[in-house]
Amino acid sequence: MLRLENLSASYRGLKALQGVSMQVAAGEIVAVVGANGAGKSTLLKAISGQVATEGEIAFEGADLRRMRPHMIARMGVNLVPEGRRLFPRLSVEDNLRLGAYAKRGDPDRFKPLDLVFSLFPRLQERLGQRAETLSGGEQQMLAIGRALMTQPRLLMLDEPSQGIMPRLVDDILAAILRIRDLGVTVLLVEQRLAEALEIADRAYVLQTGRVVMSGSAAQIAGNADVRRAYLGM
Amino acid sequence: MTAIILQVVIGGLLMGLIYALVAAGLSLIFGLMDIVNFAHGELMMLAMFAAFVLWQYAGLDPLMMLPVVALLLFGLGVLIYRGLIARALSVSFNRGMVQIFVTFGLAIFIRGAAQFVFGGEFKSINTGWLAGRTAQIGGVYLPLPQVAASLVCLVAFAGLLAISRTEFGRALEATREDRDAVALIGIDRDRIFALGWGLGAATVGVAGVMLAGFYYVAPNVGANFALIAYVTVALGGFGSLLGALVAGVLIGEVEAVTAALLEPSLKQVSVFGIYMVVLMFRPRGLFGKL
Repeated sequence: MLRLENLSASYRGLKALQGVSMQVAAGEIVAVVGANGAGKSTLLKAISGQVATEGEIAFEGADLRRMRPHMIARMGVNLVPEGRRLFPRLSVEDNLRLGAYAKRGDPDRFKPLDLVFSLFPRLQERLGQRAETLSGGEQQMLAIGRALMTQPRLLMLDEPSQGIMPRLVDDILAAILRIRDLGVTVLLVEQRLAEALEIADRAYVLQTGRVVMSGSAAQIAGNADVRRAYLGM
Repeated sequence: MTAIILQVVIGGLLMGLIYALVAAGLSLIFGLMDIVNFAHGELMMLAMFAAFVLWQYAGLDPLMMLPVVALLLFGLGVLIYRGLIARALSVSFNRGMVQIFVTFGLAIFIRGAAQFVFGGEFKSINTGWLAGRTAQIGGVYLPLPQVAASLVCLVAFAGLLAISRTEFGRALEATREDRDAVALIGIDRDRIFALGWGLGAATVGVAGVMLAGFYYVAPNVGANFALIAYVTVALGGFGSLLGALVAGVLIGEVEAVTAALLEPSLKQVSVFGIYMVVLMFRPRGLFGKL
């Protein structure tokens, strides 16, 4: 579904990705793990068109490098960014509905709301509240919900557990599994190694902008060298 | 005595509503993308000349040409964004300077072009349904073109408020809050920016047409109104529609009262005096969100 070939990118003057190649097949959950500064976030930014890149990014045969960010999103490749990037002064409902804004003219475009509410019932209770008044966990739910409103085929999540109470982390990971079961492919960037590898099918380990190991999630999780050398655990 | 006071207050209100609408257009663009449109007054001047030309050659009344000129200015705003501003946004070197000088240069260009085409002398629209008419209520004189202009300004504010409640209005607000995040959900922010410029220009266009019904029309007429609009936007709070309305009326009143009590030539001194006081105590303006 997604194929990266020899992808390089600079972020704020630093070479953040150096010749990364990876593949994501339809229906998978693929985790990208690695220490801080390994280039995980830049990887997702590169796929969603937010940083200049060299190399190849192919999504179902289309070259994403030639597309502007909003066209990439319309292709069904959607990023839930680091820091969530909600619209803080708009209501929860407006944030969600704007996810379907690009599909104006499609009478069914608000249908994913049902899915969002079944995944995150809390959001339905807080529809009229401003996004900025939500707790960290609720904001993450809203960010995922907003992305689901775009009807993604590849959902990319950047550190969804960041700044969230442990109890809610489990809820969010469970939601990611349910989203995959509905047919959405997931590319997950996480600092929390154990949790990410638990729900992922396969994983790539990044270190200073390069893929240093890849394999099934179980293999990576069981490899003591990986944990010590690349993840600082 | 009451009649005199009322006369002053109403005079301030009538002018203040025009100031408010001019400021609303400026505030809309600034709030959306943090770019000060230094050519805002020149857009208003162009709308006034459009009204003048339509009146002189087509015999249209200012009220009739309102939609035409608003549409023209909308198109011009979109054109300015697509042709100039989008390019200025994409430069990688000294972007802040480029953004200032691009609209500053545009202002000088438009003013020069108007001078070249229309000449520098003052013109005015002196026939029409309302031209030169006044109503008198309880000893207070109400010049009808100004009353009509104020009513149109209020309707325009209601229109802007209605737009802000639509789905497009939400997208506008979202773009203003996080221009990168809207792209991630498939919204073409360039399109939103262009429409924002169109809307801002159309807003000042409406003010210009109505102003042309009772004010002189000349290539330099925009400068003074733009200056007051900058003060109004800063006073009301950047990006706030209600702030522009309240601050515009406030400035109109301050001008009118100063002119009546002290000396007409001092009216702008009070305006800028109040502005400085507000900046000292409420630097984000009366209704500032930032």
